[in-house]
Amino acid sequence: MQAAATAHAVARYILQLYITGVTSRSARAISNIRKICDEHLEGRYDLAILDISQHPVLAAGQQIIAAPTLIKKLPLPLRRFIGDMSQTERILLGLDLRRTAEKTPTARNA
Amino acid sequence: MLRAIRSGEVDALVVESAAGPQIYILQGLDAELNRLHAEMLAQVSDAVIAVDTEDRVVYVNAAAERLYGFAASEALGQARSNIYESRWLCPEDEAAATTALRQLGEWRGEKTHVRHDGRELNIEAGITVLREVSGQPTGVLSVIRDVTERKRHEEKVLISEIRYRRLFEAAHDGVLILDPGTRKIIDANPFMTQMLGYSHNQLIGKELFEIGLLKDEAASQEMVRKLQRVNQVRYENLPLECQGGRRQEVEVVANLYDENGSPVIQCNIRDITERRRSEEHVELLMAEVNHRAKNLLAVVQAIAHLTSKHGDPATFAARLSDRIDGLAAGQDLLVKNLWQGVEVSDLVEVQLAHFKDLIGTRVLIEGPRARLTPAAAQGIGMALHELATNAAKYGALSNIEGQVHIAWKITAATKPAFSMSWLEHGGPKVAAPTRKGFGHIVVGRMAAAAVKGSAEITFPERGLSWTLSAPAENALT
Amino acid sequence: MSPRTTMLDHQPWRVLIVEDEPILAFALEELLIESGFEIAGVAGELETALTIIESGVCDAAILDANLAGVNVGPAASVLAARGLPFLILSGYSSDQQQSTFFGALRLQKPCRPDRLIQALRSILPAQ
Repeated sequence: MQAAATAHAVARYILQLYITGVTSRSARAISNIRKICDEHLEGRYDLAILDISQHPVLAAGQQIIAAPTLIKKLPLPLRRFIGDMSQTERILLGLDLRRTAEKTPTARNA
Repeated sequence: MLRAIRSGEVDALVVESAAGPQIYILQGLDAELNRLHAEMLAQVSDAVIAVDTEDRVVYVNAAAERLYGFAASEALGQARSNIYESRWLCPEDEAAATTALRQLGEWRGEKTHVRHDGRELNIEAGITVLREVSGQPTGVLSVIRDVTERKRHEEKVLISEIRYRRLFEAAHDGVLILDPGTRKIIDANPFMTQMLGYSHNQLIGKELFEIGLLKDEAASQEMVRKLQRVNQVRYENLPLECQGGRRQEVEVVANLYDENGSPVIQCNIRDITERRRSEEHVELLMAEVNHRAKNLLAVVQAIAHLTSKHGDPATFAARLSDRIDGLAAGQDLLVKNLWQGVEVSDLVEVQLAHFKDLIGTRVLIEGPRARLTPAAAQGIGMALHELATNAAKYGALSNIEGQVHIAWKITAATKPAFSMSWLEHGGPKVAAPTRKGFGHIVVGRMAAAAVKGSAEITFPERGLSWTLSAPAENALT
Repeated sequence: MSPRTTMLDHQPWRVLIVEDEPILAFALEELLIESGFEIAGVAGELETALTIIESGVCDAAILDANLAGVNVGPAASVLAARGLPFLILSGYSSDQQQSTFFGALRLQKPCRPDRLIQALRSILPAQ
């Protein structure tokens, strides 16, 4: 658990956000994801924003079913999120950037 | 996921098919409109950037991508300060813009943007506050035009204008600017005022003929007509009467050219009075030189004629050549003294140049400072040359002991007289020549005529004796 | 003394020389004498020339156009008034000249002696 935590602390995140054009929803999604990245992943993320309404082919093979969709490619495992990315806590959890209360290590367990 | 779709949290559905992914946009008319707007914005040449209330980029068009050097995918979601750094042209602008945005919801103005690579851009921006239907602000839309080129051009024009203005003010020629339509003066440089004696205000609004430059209105009209045909008119020598009556001569060059789309006439006026004066002076001098040269040629011709008439054909060429030498030597002195007169001592020295080693020993020269007229110098010079040639051939300089004594004086009587003598002794025995050749005439009648006096040559036993005398006023300057 | 108008008495024509360069004046003198003319006088200045003309001793004249800067025009007009022929010897080129000297014959310096004599004979009354 300790090792995994440490590994996550330094790993580089590869994220892809699939949107369909300029809508208020896609704008919110972009904004929210950027905020999360800036606050929690500063300097160690690559975020690609892909507009599949302009280039549908970008969606091929990614098993995307709706937009906006965020895909975490790395670090593994692969994760997907749909919507405007406004549920920050859920996303942080899903990106392994948050621990639930019982998983937090204490000095006694170290 | 289905819950997300059902709760309306998505914009579109994606379905994989044999032909590739198919995108189904869920919102109907809105989506179409959005797409249309997006297409229009993509084609617009001004950069369009929209940010949300936290100043994060939510939209950039293709022009903005190009202007700031970012792809849309890199720019979206970024803080605007990451895309460009914004600088106000002057501190008051910031306050004005803030007020305008707050009160009117929009602002237009010029600023400087610095790109991520450091390049500075001069831009013109129109900023509008974006609102929801309720009126709540949702962000800011900026439409940005790159005016860097235009500003650079404007600066260049300004510098060029400043430079021109400096030249105009400082020029040592007069410069007049005229309106081709009215033919009136619309600007004049300070030198023009100096040249004419009119003040700047007195010049403005006048036509050229009114300030004494062209003859009359017709001449003025003619000049403008000509300019319109050939673009430049030159008057090499115009008389100009200044206020105060002083007359000058000027050279005028007029040009018709285009200034920011409208035609103007520029007249450059140069005072050539001095130049004309020297040119005229040179013309006079040239005429004088020509006159003297012709006279000299006539003298040479006369000498040639007389030499041939009075001499031996066999020796004609040598004798003539020799005499012309003497004439030339005297001529040099005349020119050196600018035809003002020649010192006797200089003349003697020049005509006895062949014997300069003997001067002080076998040739003694003695006399006061005395300036001969050009005519006297020519006559006496030729006589001395003749005497020297003769002394070398037959007289006191033809052996090793002979001596020549050359002397002159000015007697201070009521009518001062100039007298000169050439006395030989110690040479071979001489006898008066049986036939008087041209040489005799040279030292005798010609020399006498030159000084308007008398000259005599005798042959006493001790050696040849030549004397010349004339009223000082005839021979001396 | 009155000017001669015929050659009946076979006396030589008396010519006035107006020239300020002594050597040239001398050469002219020699030339005229050897060509059978008599010298009425040699004047290097306008005043002297006018005096000689007015005393009536000359039948014709050779005038240097420019006497050390002084224009010889006045002498020309007196000669013309008296009906006396004359020719002009000039060192200036024709375009440098301003006066026409009453249409008198003009010769350029340097002038060949034979041409000068020929010109002189041409302006004198025929024999």
